[in-house]
Amino acid sequence: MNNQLFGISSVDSSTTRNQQEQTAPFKKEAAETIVLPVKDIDTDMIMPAQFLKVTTKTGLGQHVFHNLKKNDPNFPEFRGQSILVTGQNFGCGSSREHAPWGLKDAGIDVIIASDFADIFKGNAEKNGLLCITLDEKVVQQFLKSGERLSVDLEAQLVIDEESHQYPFEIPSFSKKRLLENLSDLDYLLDFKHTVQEFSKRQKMLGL
Amino acid sequence: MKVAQNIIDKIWDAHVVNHEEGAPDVFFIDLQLLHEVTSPQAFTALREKNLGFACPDRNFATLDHSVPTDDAREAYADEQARHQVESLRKNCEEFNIPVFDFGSGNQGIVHVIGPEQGLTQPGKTIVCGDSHTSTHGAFGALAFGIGTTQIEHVMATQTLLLEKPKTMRVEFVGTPTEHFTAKDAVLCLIAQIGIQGANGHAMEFAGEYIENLSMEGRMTICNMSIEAGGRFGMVSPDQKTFDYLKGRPFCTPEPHPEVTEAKAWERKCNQWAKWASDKGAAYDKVVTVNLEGKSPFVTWGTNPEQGIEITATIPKAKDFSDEAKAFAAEKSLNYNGLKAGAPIKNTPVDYVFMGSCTNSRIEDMREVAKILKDKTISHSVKAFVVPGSEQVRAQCEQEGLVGLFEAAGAEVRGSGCSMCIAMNGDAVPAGSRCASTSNRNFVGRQGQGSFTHLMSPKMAAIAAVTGKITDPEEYFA
Repeated sequence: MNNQLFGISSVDSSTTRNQQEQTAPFKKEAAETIVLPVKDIDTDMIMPAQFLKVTTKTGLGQHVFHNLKKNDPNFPEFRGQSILVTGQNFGCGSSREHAPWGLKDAGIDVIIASDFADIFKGNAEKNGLLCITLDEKVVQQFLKSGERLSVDLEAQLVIDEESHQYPFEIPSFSKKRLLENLSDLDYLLDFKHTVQEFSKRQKMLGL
Repeated sequence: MKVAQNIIDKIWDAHVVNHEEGAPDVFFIDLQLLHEVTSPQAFTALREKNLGFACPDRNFATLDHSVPTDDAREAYADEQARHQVESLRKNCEEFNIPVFDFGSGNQGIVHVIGPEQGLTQPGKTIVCGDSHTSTHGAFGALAFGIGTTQIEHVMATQTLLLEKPKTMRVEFVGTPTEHFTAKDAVLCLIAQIGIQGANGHAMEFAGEYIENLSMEGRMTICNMSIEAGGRFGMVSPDQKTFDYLKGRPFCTPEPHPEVTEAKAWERKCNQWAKWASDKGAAYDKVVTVNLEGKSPFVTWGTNPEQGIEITATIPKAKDFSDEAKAFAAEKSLNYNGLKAGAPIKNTPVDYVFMGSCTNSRIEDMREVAKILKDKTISHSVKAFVVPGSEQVRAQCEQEGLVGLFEAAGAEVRGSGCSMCIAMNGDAVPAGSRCASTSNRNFVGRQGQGSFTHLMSPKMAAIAAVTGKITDPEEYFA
């Protein structure tokens, strides 16, 4: 298999919370891609509402794109590819984090598109799913070829089969968070005492 | 001289707990609203990490998404849905978070009850695990949808790690035609800028049209910000905002021996008024939406930007400048069976849904009642009226609207999200077409294989009577 994630410990859905939150380094070589050449894929498509009645976040991979898979015989099969290449504005609509939970559980670590919906992108990052924004022309090329891609988050590069390099932007904080398995919560908990004071001040301001 | 600031910058600056170069801000959240669908995993995480709520008094919960809407509140879609509702009750009891439960008189859709209770106030930062949280922006609050991991962060720290969005001013100008409503204005905006038009931005809606709108109308517009990609949508607070909030439980000033009630209220309003955008404030982007002479809108496709005036025809492939949009249109029409180039009006409908966090407030119910009064719903249509909250339902009863809806042949249900997200069992069957006052016409949103056409409560009620998507001008002619 060429879709091995170098240096990445895969996330076992039955693990404890510490492990679940773990987001490992991103360095892939010639990883297989799954392509969905459709614009505006919304989170209702990714994870239909009938699967939101759960009270846990595990095992959602099997339901990813449920209705599309059911109704479209040509819908591509998820068989261990770790990179999803797709049309612009991926993840629009509902804020359901069940969408990135499902994608991650289905084996996806990296999504490449020319634009992502804000809430989805934020949710994805918190689950160790890297959203890479590339020029629409480049994305179209990957969508057509369906070729294997290499990803190097450290170097901020996507590399195609002919060794062409495509640099991508990522805020330094997001990069660090993904590379070093940092959790926002730990960072925020450091302000615990400030927050209590802040809350009192807000009340004085009528907030 | 003080630099003119817009409302987004004002609220943002007042909520930054910590700012560090190269990192997102530690951002204070004044109010978190919880519901049964997106919170259970956050409660579990909190428990597993042995953490509590940092500021429990800034968190409130309600039941809405997966709740049964029958009178007895017992007809759960399945055991999973019942379990989810019971889990919220248990979780809130354990962590001492108040729940607006069935029969309390205060249960309802989270974005209806926040304002109703007076929890939603100008200047506040408000979050909820629901993308339509921008609704609360109608009151001059910075309100936005978050995921479950962020819900957990707010529970444990009352803060979020956030990048500041860019700012966008959306100015509505011109005078539309008689039957045009706030719903039509927002559908018009989304058709203009597209469903990703506001990605990365917080929008402020402004202009004479917005100033003249009721609070309900403003909520409808802010509600659908996310349908244009905007996580935040808001309106600067004014006298209408204050009048709406007056007397509501969570914003009534506490009694004070030396300050009269009237004086205390005046002070509060003055405090709120300061959040409004200053004249001449700058924005990263300005968009103008011209409503001059516009007719009511209706969607013809499977995403909210695929909307046209009721008088228009469904666009053909050549009408799109963008290949991807033309392809999306073709896919939409393949799904819902409509034809490019055909008029949208007179398309028959099988279902009519009047409800959702977009349009289920008392003003919406009154609009529907004006149409349904002394009328009979078409024999080919099943019509559902789902008030947004127990309060709205009670008010409908008081005003005789429940009887009026039922006399017309509509089914009036208990409050909840119901047929907007169709996860509680209230669903449109496959192959059926629904005229809906909700916010999303995504494929299968109202039930697998169903087709949705978004429109205003007035248009939906007319469709219920005529059995087809109808131009109000012709209906009233």
